[in-house]
Amino acid sequence: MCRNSRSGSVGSGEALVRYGVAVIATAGGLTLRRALSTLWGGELPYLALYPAVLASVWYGGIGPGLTAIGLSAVGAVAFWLGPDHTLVRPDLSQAVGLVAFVVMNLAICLVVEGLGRARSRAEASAAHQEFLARVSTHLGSSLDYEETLRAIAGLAVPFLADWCSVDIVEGNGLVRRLALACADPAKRAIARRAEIYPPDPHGRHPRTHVLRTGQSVLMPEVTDEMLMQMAGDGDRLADLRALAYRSGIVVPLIARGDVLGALTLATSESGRTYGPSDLALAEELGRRAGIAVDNARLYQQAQEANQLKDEFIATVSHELRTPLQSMLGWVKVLRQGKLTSERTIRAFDVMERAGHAQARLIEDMLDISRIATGRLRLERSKVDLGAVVQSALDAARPAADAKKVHLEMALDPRVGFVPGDSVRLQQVAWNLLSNAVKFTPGGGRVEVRLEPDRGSVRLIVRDTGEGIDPEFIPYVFDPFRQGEATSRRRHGGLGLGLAIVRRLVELHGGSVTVRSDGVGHGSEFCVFLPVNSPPESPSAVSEKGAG
Amino acid sequence: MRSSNDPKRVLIVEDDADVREALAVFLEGEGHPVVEAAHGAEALTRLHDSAGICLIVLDLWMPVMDGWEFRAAQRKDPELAAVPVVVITADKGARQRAADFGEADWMTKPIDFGRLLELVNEHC
Repeated sequence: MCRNSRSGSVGSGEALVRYGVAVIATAGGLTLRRALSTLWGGELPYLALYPAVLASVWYGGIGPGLTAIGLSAVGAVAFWLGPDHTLVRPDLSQAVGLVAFVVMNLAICLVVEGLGRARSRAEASAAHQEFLARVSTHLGSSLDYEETLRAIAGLAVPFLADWCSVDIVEGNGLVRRLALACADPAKRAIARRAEIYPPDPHGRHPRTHVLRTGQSVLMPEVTDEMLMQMAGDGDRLADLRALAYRSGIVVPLIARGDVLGALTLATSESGRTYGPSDLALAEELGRRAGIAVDNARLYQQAQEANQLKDEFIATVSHELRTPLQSMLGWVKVLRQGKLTSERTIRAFDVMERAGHAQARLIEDMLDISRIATGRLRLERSKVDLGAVVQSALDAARPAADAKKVHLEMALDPRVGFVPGDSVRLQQVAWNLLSNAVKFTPGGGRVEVRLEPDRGSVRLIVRDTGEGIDPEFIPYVFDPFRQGEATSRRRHGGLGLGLAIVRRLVELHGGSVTVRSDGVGHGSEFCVFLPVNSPPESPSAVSEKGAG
Repeated sequence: MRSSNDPKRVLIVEDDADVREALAVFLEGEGHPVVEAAHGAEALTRLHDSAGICLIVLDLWMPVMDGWEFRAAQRKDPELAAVPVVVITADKGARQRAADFGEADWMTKPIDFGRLLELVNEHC
């Protein structure tokens, strides 16, 4: 409350000066004109009063201008229109002259006032432009958006606000305060304390509203009721009161239609109140900051993609060289000519296996390349899904037996033919099965079920293997991603198998899901395939066009 | 403690069983006894258990403990630090990234078995 009275006294003091200037200017004009009475008599009665009105309105605005007109009129009547020092009504011609004076000066007042407004608008606009230019310099100077947002908050105080914060929505949906600037350092500690409050689930805080709707909020006058509404508990209300907001603006940080965060501006000690032009400037600031955040994030994503690509190339090189080493190593051993016949057979087995492993890697890479360029096509026919799964199972059995992994199968006889590409569907079943065997230790179990499921067919591959880290689950079907750190992996492969599975299933109009109760708890992949031919999807059409 | 009477042996640290076996059969065929390990942690155990290891043939990408971690542990252990290492890796860029790896010979897979034999003859 003391804040209000203080700013009130500042306002009335300023008004006193403005009206004082009007009174003094008018008194000066009247005195000068009276002094000239000996020279001019009754001629040009208002000549010295025009400058007085002009000076009053120029300096003090429309109120002091009107005051000067009123005082001039009264003075003219009192001092020279009627008998001196009386307020006797002037005769008709004098009255016409007086009215003309008043009307002309009213017009002058309006014109001068209009000019003044235009000038202050132009000045404010120039200041806004200069501010935005400085902001833009900062936005362009760094790809570290946290640093950029701190710089923006620093620029906003004191030019736009006494208090400025920038809050960003993180990937996990939580809101984090990235920047805070306060004109009054004592308030920094309070503001810091205010940020550790949990997010308000009811959305009563204007910031929550802005983050949810993307719509700006302008609070010309922050009332105590508003503070009570924002505060969830007593401590918080005390903090909010201590911050002594007078006026506030919250605008969203928006880029490509997404609300990335919120920029909050508030005034307190300056006593300034926000209006629509401040809101417009704040919204522009929010838009620019949003673009900066978006650009920085896109850059980060591009960097990550690039790194993923480098890792992939290293993995490809490793995965191709290892079987090559196997083959060439055993050739060298065979050339030594010291092998027993038993070992010689083993040498040929190893070389054959290594050759097949390399061929499969190359096929996978070609498939991923076809998927990336939209050139993967299906040879559609009627497919006996049971037979397809059975042959994939037969192919996976040697590897499972070698590891002592138990394979179980339950094929529901009601599953008949589905429309699709039998080679590709076998690839789906084989990739899921070989993955399950690969990640299941000896003594474990891999279970395959094929069953009808409300107008579609469901293929389930469940294992008792290593399971999947919950953090990795969202990336399981992304190409090039593998759950293990590259140099310490226990399992070979390029990390393409599941990406290929997903694309092949999608091309069949189906879907694939994954579930795991975490590391050490096995995993379950579930493929749904439609029994009826899927309608030609737009992507399939465009792929044909591209091919 | 090692003595001059101990047979000199080559420690092969490689996770791919087929490659490991080829290396072992080849070196034994050339008259060099070998000890095998499937990853870094097993290699450390073998180093402590077996006498007379004159050279470590080390793969880098391995489960449990990779080649970098093994090398760091080996160099920290005063008893093992002096055993020479030849790195055989399928990761061609590994050498540039291995700033703090210490003195070692580097070979990229597929390696030249003749060149490996020269190194083994030199050290053992």
